[in-house]
Formats: sequence, C-alpha cells, structure tokens
Amino acid sequence: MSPQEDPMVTHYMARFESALRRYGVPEAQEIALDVRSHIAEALGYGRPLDSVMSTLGQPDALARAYAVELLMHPPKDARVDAVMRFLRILALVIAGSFVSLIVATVLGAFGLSFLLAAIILLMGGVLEAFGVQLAHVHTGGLPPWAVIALSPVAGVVAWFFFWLLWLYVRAAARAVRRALPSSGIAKPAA
Amino acid sequence: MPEPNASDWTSQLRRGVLELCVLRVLRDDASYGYEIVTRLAALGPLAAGENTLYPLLRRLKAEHFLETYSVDSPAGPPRLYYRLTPRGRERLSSLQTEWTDMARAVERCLNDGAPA
Repeated sequence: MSPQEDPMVTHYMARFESALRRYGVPEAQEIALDVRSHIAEALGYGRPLDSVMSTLGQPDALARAYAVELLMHPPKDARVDAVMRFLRILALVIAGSFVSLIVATVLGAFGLSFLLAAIILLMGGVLEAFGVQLAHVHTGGLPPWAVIALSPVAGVVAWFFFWLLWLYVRAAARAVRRALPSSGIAKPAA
Repeated sequence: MPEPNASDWTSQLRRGVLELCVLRVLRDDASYGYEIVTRLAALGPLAAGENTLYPLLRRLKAEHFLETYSVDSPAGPPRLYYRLTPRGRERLSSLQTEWTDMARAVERCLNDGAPA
C-alpha cells in the first residue's frame, strides 16, 4: 500500500472533497489533485505522514479557505479588463489632446511673450542708457533704469508660466503612465 | 474584545504580500505547489501555510495571472505546475511598483514619524 493510499489520507481527501462540494468551490477535482500531489511530494521528501496532514489543517478548514479565496474574490474577466483599459486610454488621448493643446498653447505663449518682453526691456533700457533709441520702441517716457528694472519682473512672470507648463506636463505624463499597460519589466527598487 | 497580537498582524501583512511573492517566485520558472511552499518557507516570515498558499494559487489561476499544466511525477499523482501568464507578468510589475512605493513610505515614516 502506497503512503497516499493510507486510510488517513483517503479519509482526509473524502472529507475534503465533500466539503469543497458543499461550499460550491469550482474546479474541485483539480483542487483535490493539487492537495493529493502535495501530500505525495511531501512524503517523497521524507516528511512523516502525521506532520504532512497536520500542516494541511482540518479538511473542512482547508475547503473553507478555498471557498473564501475563490468565492469571496470572484475573478475579474480579463477581456472586460482589457476593453476597459482600452477605453480609458482612448478617453485619455481624446480629452488629453484637447486640453493639452489649449493649456500648452496658452501657457507657452504667455511664457514666451514675457520672456521676450524681459529681453527687450533689458536691451532697450541698456541701449537707452547709452543714448541709443531703438526704432519702434517707445518706453513711454520711463527713465532707462526703470525700463531695466521691469525686465526681471517680466522674467519672473515668464518663469511662472513655464513652471505651470512643467507641472502640467508632469501630471499628464503621470496620467499616461498610469493608463498604459506596464511593459512587464519590473521597476527596479531604488 | 481581545487585543490583536503581533502574530495576527504578521499574518495579515503576509497575506497582503504573499501574492506578490508567489508571482515573483514564478517569474523565471514554472513550479509546483510543494516547491513553492518550501521556497517561501525558507524565507522565514514569508512562510505561509499550505491552507493559505494553495487557495491563493487557485485564485491567481482563476484570475488568469497563472496557468497550469501537469507533468508525471515519480512521487505519485501528476505534478501540477504553475507558470505566469502575460497578464500575471503585468500584475507582478504593478504590484512590485506598489510595494516599492509603500516600503519607501513606511521607511520614511519610521525614520521621521511623517513630519507635517
């Protein structure tokens, strides 16, 4: 008689399979095969039968553990998941394109305008201080030092708009990363 | 109400990370239940009882993170091998990222007490 045919094993498996059916656990036959295979492997590795059976726990408790795992966490359908992910990416691309177009254009245009204004104010002020009057540049009667002083103010405003743009790009990149399926290569721990 | 002790806490914690560890154990090679149990048992606090690990393997299979195939075993009944599916690899990658973020946050909290 092989150890797997020991009355203790036979009795355990009969009670276990009956409990699986009682709890309505799916794929009960394959689960029973898993447990039988576990017992055989453990005995094959020289573990005493008593110890193998006691670590498995009571047959009813083991069947209940399967029921809890399989019936309380019903598996999500992989296809529904894939469709949902596709729709999420599609929505992100459509909404994200419009929003990005507006946000990037507005913030970029403001940022560039103020940056150019800062450069022109600085150059215009310095040149005016040396008595050079640029054609088409009117400083409204401001003294050259005031024109130069306005340059960093415009620079700060430009920096503010670029900073907002950077925040937006960072948030958008994060949203895209979250929506895209992972590559299968785990991120290394830093 | 009885106060939960440290071992309750450890077992709750283990339950949470066991899925990640099982997926990682199977990342490079397929394996069968008994081998997975013994490999995790060698990692001390991650040693999960058969009555935790086997049901978890079935759930991961039901969720299409794992697939099985059987191979004749010299020990008796055929061995049921588990291996990762492409969906399982995605799951491993996302859980690993979650774990890294969580571990880093907990470490910061333990060092600094999460300053305001």
